Amino acid sequence: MSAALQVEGLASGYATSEVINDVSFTLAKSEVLAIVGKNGMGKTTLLKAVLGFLPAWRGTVRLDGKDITRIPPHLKRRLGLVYVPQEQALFQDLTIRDNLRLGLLSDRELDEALDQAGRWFPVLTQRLQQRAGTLSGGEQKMLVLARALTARPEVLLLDEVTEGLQPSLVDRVSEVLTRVRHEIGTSIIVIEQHLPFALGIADRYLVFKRGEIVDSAGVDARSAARIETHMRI
Amino acid sequence: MLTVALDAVTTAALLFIISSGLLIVFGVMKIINFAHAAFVTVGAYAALVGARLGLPWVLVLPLAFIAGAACGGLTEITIVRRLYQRPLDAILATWGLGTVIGQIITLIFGREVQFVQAPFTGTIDLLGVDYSAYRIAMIAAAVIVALVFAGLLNGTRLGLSTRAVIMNEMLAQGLGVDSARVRLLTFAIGSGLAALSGALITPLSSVDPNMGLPWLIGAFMLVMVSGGSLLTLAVSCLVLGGLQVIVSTFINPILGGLTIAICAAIVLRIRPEGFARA
Amino acid sequence: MPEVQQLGRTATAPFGASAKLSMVVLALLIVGSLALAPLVLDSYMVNILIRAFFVAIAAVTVDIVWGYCGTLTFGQSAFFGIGVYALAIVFTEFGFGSWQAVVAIAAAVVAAAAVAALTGWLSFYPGSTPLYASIVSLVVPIVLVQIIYSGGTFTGSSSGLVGFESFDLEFENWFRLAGLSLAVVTAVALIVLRSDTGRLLKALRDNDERCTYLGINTSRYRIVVLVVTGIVASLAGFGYAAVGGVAAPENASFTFGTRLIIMVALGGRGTIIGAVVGALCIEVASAYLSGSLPYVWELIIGIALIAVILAFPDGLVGVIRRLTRGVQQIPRGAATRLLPTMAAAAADNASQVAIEVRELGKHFGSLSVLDGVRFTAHRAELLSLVGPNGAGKTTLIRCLSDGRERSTGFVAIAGHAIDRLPPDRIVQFGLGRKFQAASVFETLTVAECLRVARTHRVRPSLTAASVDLELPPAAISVVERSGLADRLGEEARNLSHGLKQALELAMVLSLEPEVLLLDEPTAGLTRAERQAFADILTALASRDRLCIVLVEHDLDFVREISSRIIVLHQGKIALDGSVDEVVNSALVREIYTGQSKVCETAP
Repeated sequence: MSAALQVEGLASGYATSEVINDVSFTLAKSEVLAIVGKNGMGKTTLLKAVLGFLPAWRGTVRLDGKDITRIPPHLKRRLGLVYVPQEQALFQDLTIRDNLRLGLLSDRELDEALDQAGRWFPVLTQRLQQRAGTLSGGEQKMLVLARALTARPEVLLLDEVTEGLQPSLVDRVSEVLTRVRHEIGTSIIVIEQHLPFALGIADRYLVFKRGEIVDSAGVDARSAARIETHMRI
Repeated sequence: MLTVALDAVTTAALLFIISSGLLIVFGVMKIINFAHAAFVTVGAYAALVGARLGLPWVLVLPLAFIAGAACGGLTEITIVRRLYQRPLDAILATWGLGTVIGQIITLIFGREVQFVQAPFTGTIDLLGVDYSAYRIAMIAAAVIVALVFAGLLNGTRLGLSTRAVIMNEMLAQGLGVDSARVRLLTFAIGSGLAALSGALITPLSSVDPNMGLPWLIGAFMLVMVSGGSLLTLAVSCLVLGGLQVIVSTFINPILGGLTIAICAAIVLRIRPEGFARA
Repeated sequence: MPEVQQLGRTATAPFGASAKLSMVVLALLIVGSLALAPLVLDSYMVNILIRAFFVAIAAVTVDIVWGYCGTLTFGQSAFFGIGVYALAIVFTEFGFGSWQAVVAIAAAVVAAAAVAALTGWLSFYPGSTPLYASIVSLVVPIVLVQIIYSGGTFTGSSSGLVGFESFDLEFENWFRLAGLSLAVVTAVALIVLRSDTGRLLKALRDNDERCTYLGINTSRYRIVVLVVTGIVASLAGFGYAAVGGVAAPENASFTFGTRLIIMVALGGRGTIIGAVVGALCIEVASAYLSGSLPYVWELIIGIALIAVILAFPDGLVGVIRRLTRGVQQIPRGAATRLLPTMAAAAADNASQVAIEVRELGKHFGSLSVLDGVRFTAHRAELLSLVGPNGAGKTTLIRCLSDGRERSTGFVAIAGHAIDRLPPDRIVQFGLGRKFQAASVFETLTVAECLRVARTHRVRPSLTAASVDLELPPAAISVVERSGLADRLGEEARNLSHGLKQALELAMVLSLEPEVLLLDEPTAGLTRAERQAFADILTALASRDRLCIVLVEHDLDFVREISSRIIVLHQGKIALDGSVDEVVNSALVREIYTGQSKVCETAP
């Protein structure tokens, strides 16, 4: 059985500067992988290169065994690779309903999706016709997550999804992700600075530092301490 | 007095139809298509051909739209697509295209001014004033265009995707929207609209290879002032178009021709992003 | 005392001795051909060339405004038309004579200058976009033509003016005069554009914002350029009408304006020579071909324009250059020599307060990005500004550097209140701002970038490309430590990310600022670069007594070099204290919930 996502020797960056160099890792089916590391280390660049928003200068990306390195971003989405960006993840001027609509590939599944979003995060369905920009920061994150999950993704890439969320909401997010993962079998990559959350739901973790992977292991009781040592200079 | 008011409204209606295509292109692609005038002319000549072939207007209008859309689609694929990062160069390249189209039309049809008969002539008696029926029909046409557009943008999936691309193209792509296709369709539709407006104005003015040009500057300024909203465009057309008619009638027709350009330049100086968010 | 980079004569002309010789030969050739050509060519060709020479002068002005300053202008034709009509109207109304000629020239110059100043004021205000400037340049000739149409017999309306008596020169002499004028204009343009001032114009085109933050009033420069080129174009029109004896509205039209742009685009924008070549070729070809193949010729031009824009943006001259020189990156200009400036007498009694902020707020409607921010920073302080994403850090930096940004509150930099002043004025109070993405001038060399950075201290030469470059010791130190000193002649766009950051820092230090604002300066740097950076900043604070404010995410970097940390959270200051206080604070830990615990003191 092929891996959900397999990255080999990936190198990418901006104009004259190479940010990630020779990155390789595998995401198994239904696995949750946490990629941790401080800001500015290249984690978002890695995601963008996997998705095709940045050119892959070297290396390959495979989705379920199929080489998708050079496929444009919108086609990757159609293959089931769903991305939740850290910033500017919503259309502020569109309604909640329209934002959720855009998460789906067609309107046929819309009603069921709206129901489901309401079950996970009730506050959303109470205000479907409101502009997304009127929601609080935490509510916006929930909307973004609902949009991603109702798409029933094969592979889900979450970039700092708990940023700015109060602890009770972080727990809710954990809960929903775990449930969805068991129901649909989604494979998930979480990029996180919030270690307790990341280690709470992940099966494995990678530590990303200055554009490369410096540590990789299964999650257990000593993981937190091990990761700390990498976060220091 | 009523005549002047009617002139103002019908002029605004014409301006709206001509500018709406340019607005949609600018909103989605953030570039100004200087070949817009040429597409207007293409539509006018399509109407000429249709009239000569004896086609009924019901067929002439769609024919013009299709001719414009085809030209637009071809333009997007061959020229505009490569110039997204260079908006000023896009202005120049589309201007070049405009002259090319103008010359081709001249080579085929010759330079003389031609005339097309209106599908219906005569006047309507409105509150004691006899006013050209065809001009009144322009108002209806503008309203139909606006409604169809609003309907498409707000009611269809494609419209939603288009609005998404306008707001944040990268996010839209990440959500599965084929933004390249959206751009192509938008450009084609915008050009088709330009041609449609060209066909509609033929009975009101003469047809010659450069007829689109005077409308280009006005349309361009109106689009800049509207900042991307169809509603604001309608309002701008009414205000500035009305002003143009008033100045032309009461002061000086030549000054009238300048009203839109000068007012828009001043407005943009005060409020560079236009009035979409007002 | 840093070593002098290269011993050598302090040359101040842009060309060396052998280049000077070839220029003299070239000049002789040009003068010679102009003298002899009318005797050899047929009179039809001579006639065409005379007009073509004047049009080429107008094309050169278009290249200066578009190719060098970056404004796509359709309006230079308006100035040409002003010159045409100034002559025609004066000679029609008052006949021909010496005082009438003087009045006509004066009218041409004054009217052009006035219109250019007005156009410039309208187009180039702080915050204007290149698109808006293009729009205005479009409107000017249209308005002018309409004014001409409505002028009745005074302006000849749509038929123009003919039959006025004009200067009595033989055609051959008109040829020499026009040709010589073109040669002089071209030579002057080339000299000025290769000088330090020319580099400054290119910097304006490459990165207007960076120029503003180097204390340069970009609007004023652009307006001056427009006025000068407007006057030159007007005089070209004057000559055109003088020889042609006709004034027509087409001479001022938007169509002619686009024609000029096409000439520059096809010939090669940004080269001056390209404008001349393009104008001459098109004018001559038009004259011969538009008679026999009228529509086809216009068609060819349209297609050529599209082809050039898509495939050969450098135009004909660019293609020739690439064929003859290959793609080598030849470092440009005579090797630059770096010299340290005299250390400014440190005014010890100068105010120690570098930044003062009181009740600073920034609101968008009901959304509050910053609220009630107040703090004071002193010289020799290294203050780090930290906080989660969206806390308002970059907004705060913007409010400190641009008087128009904040909604409420008071800000003073180096003792001067910033009120609602634009960045270029605040920079002159002693502020330097370094952007997050390395903001330099891509098409200028390293040395040229640094020289532009010295503009507000040292007026750039109009004629020379100086070889000596005086920089303050702090800037020289950065240039040498980073390795830029070996690459002074390379274009900035070829530098690596780390080097661009170093270059921008050196540029900002060249301002000799008292206050330095840095936005995430270590993003994307290697470990070695980061360390070098830390050393530089620490030295700047302690030795040069700068007040440094740093926005950073890398908390280890912050902990290592700061003397003080301000934590921003949801637009308000959550904590303001020494490194120890902040690092050990429970509040900070809470704000960065779950963040890798920087707060735990490592043994």
